[in-house]
Amino acid sequence: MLFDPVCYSVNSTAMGDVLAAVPVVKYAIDTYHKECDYRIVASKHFREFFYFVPDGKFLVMEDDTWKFDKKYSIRRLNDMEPKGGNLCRLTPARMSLSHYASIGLLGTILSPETYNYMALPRVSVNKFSIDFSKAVILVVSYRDVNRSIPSEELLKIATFVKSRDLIPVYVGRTVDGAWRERAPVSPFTPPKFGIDLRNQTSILELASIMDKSLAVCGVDSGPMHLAGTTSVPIISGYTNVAWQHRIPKRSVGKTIVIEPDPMDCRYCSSVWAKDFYNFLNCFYGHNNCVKTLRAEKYIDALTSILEGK
Amino acid sequence: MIIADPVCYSLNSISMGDVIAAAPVIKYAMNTFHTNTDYKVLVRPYYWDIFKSFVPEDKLGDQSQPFTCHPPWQIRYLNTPRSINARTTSMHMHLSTFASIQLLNRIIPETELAYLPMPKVDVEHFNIDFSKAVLIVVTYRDDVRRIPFSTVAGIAEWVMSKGLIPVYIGCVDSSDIWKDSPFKLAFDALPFGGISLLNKTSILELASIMSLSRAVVGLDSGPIHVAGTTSVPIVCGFTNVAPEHRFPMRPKGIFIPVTPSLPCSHCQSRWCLNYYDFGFCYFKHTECVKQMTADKFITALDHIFQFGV
Repeated sequence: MLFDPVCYSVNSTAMGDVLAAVPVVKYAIDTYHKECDYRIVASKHFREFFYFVPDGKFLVMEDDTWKFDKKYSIRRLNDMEPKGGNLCRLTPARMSLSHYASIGLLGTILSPETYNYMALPRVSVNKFSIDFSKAVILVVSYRDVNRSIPSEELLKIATFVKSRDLIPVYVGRTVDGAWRERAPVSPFTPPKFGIDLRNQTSILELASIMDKSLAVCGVDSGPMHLAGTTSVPIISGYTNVAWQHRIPKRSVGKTIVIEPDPMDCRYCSSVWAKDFYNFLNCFYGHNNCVKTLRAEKYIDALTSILEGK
Repeated sequence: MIIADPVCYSLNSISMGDVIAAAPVIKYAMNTFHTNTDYKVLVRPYYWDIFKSFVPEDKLGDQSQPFTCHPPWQIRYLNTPRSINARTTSMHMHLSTFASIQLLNRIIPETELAYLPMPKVDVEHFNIDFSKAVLIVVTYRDDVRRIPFSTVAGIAEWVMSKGLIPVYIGCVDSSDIWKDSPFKLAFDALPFGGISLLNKTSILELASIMSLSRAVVGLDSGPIHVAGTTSVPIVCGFTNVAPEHRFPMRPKGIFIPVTPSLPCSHCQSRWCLNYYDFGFCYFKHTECVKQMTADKFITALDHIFQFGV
């Protein structure tokens, strides 16, 4: 087989997009680049996802050091015009993140088994002094109001976890990265019970914590995809994006989908065809999909996991 | 209710196979996104017949004429300009999937991608008993995607030995595809016997003839995709493109691929050389074409005639 030398630019700041792209990149390296050179460009925040890429072949997106030899053809995860905007209007809201990565980076569609998220290197989390075998991880920070879970519902879930003599552990990131310009819209304030690990974990630490825990609960977001690199049971809510497009791909581990109540507009970003609308805000302004991600749905799912069903 | 933008779908391909594969995608779009939202379908006039049965006349436009649209209208192209940023091609995925991604930015279910039957037209004026006809596609654009003359002769001879009629079909001069082709074939002399319908059929007549015939034989090309709109048995050779990316989507009708056995078989589908023009053999031996021997097609035809559809 003959191939061009390629630079794969995983040019997304969304952790889920990048995690879904990792197995695609691995496939490309194993299939096309045994004898043909390549480079991987990604954010420095996500370097550890590409642990199988040697240092000399990994270029940091933020440093702009990837102005390389033009013998490489560039393939971008997000096909952006120089001034921004998506040239092809392909969006990962309308197809699975994995298909999106495969089409964006390889121009093809790979077989489903190729898409399984790759396990990340485990790191020590002893410094947190928490018995994670009794922990339920709650993802509590979100970027978009229409992709979040109401704070009062989070509190009910946390209360339920505590009532079962388990430990609610609050995770998420509110101080840097993608959050810099847009503050989390669901400013959950952790109660006095449970453990607040917000902004205290590295990505690898968070994955290791999740791997040791009883379950991870939240709404479709980067940390939920991170949970997808482990076998921990996941309870994930979906609002404006269809769960079929976003459920983490993995060969082991139970994932329970929490859907909004039936309504015409749920999963709007996936089902509709409005290219000029910014789905970061509810089209109708009511956010009913978010409001119906009620605690009892999560509690029912969590109960079934705790009871081994 | 699905909310969608008004869209102009530009089927900017001169390849009949691309356009036929795109037709069900257009129909899906009309039924799903445009029940309340306007749309336009731009396609070359010589392909209008493919769409007239389901696209109202006022929605059908000439793709070869300049067209501009302004928001909220947007234009979606089947083929995006060839550049390093738009290397999604129909060579690395199925034609139908390609159309779905390019036109709708999503992968619609396979059940929606079945080629649409064309309206049947009268073909009695040809005075041929098509129930005894085997149609052989004999005109091709590319050196790497054709059947050798000796193969056509061998197939024709075998067909006649079975008391059947070889009917030669294709088009050598009616569209600009063939204008500059160095492989424009002239079958005027018809050295093998049989009947020539070269340049004598419209697309609808060709489809109607095919639906009445015993089988259609040829290399992956426009007429093979026309055959895919019927349930006629198809024996189709594949040289530089993989059959899994090109078989006609249809609910019924036997399809037998004929493939070469070479390390470089289906190069255009398997390799990733973005800058090479696969209209020409990379190794300049066109061995894949030479392996399209008559015996392979005859074996397939014999199977069809013995065991039926």
